[in-house]
Amino acid sequence: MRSTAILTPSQNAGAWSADRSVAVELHVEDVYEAHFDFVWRTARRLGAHESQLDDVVQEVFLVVQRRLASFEGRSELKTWLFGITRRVVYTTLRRRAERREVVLGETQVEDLPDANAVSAETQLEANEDTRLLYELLSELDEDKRAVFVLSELEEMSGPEIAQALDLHLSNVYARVRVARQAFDAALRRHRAREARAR
Amino acid sequence: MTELSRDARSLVARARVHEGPSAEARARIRAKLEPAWAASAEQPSAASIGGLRTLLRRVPIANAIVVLAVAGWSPSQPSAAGERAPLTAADRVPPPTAAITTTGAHAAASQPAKQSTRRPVAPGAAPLAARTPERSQLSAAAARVRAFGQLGMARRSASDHSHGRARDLQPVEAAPAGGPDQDARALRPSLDSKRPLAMTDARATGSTGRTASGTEVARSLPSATNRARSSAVTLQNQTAPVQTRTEFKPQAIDDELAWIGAAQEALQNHKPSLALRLVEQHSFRFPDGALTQERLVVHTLALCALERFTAARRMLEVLVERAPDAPIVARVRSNCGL
Repeated sequence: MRSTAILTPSQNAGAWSADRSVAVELHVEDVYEAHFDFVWRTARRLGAHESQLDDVVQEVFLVVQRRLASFEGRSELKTWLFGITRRVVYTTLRRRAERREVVLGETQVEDLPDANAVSAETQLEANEDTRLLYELLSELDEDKRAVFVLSELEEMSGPEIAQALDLHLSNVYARVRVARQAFDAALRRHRAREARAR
Repeated sequence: MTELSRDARSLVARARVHEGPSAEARARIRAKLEPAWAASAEQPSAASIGGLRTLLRRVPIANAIVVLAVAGWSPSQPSAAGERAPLTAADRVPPPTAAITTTGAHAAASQPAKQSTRRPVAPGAAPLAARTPERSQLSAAAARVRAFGQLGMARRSASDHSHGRARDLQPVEAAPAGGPDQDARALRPSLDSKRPLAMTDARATGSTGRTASGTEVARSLPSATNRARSSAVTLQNQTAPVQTRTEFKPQAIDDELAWIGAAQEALQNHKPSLALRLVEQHSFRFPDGALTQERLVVHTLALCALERFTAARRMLEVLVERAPDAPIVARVRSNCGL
């Protein structure tokens, strides 16, 4: 079944939003082209390991393909994609953690870095700032991390974050504040470690 | 609101410049996805289904009767249908269609058999009602929808009020194919006296719950049950070809029922946290499922049980937005004290 949604492109940021007067079919390929970068970045920021990124992003778009026909545009496509990506990433991370517990002590081949997978992404992540960003994000818990990604990295508004995370608006602001504090604290710890190492 | 420190802001700004996938990654993942896209493209387009669903959602409930012809699938249809239990001959009805009439909910509710609009069916295919003169062999899909009524989330149509007493709960498969009327008698709220977040007061309201005749009626929500039941009426005199298959998917309904049923059970067993997790799972798996409204009810009640009244109030607002006229709204509001 070909997955489509009846939507129109909105005016801002290449996002898609529902328009009840004009209907346009949106195919999964369109979503892929428009939002691949967003999904990839979100997956990485939420903690998907580099070696898992391909699988995670692929899974996200398979879910999109299955669900697109039921997407009505009541939320922005981007927030909808964020929800899917978030769940796929967390599921992947939990599976990975469970596998590690089960085979404690055994080396998992799939967990080892794949020499063939060392590609442009690796080189990009070699960028010190990007690497540090992911390192600091990994010190936040899941909730703070998600809020921080949306507010500081995607620069979404409070209502958009509320929609993406299914939170009340007042909770969003509280969480953003806490997430910023946590990120700052993690950065301060990092700077302190750097200073001691010198 | 606390701002990020200058150092952190600077780091974020610099990192974002270098962040992002390569063109190689984009092409590599696309190559992996293309077989799945190609496979889906070979199947019938769902555009009309998505569009129909969108349209159906947007018709005000108070002014429209949403009629879903929940027929089975043709014998030639592969995959998911083939994996299911064999269908009876009665289940093999022509491709279903959906129709909307705007005759007004009240008029239609009081005179369900009277349809102002005649809708077509495929040539050569007997009208559903003609083949099921007593409406006794609605599709297996419709039976599954009715099963939801057994979970207490279905609302009986006005015409069902005149029929007999409630029966005990039975498994879906075990339920006799006695037609909508007979099956309607099997409807009973599962959220009965045992449920922690009292829906039991519904029995005293007169508008919901047990009727004067003793028939226990699950009419808390406008459910797919009624749509399915109405479809048998609407399709009665159809004459022209069927053009589309409805978006109704029996397997999806089964799956949805499992989640919502489990959530209800958790709520009954004083496990609102579990109920909450289950409805959240349902929300993820079926973001726009047929039982979304039912999910919102359970979600609201679970939040109330957890004394998360702000969240419950917000969830109730979503429910009200979705179904402003549903009787369940008042009941949920009352039970939660919202």
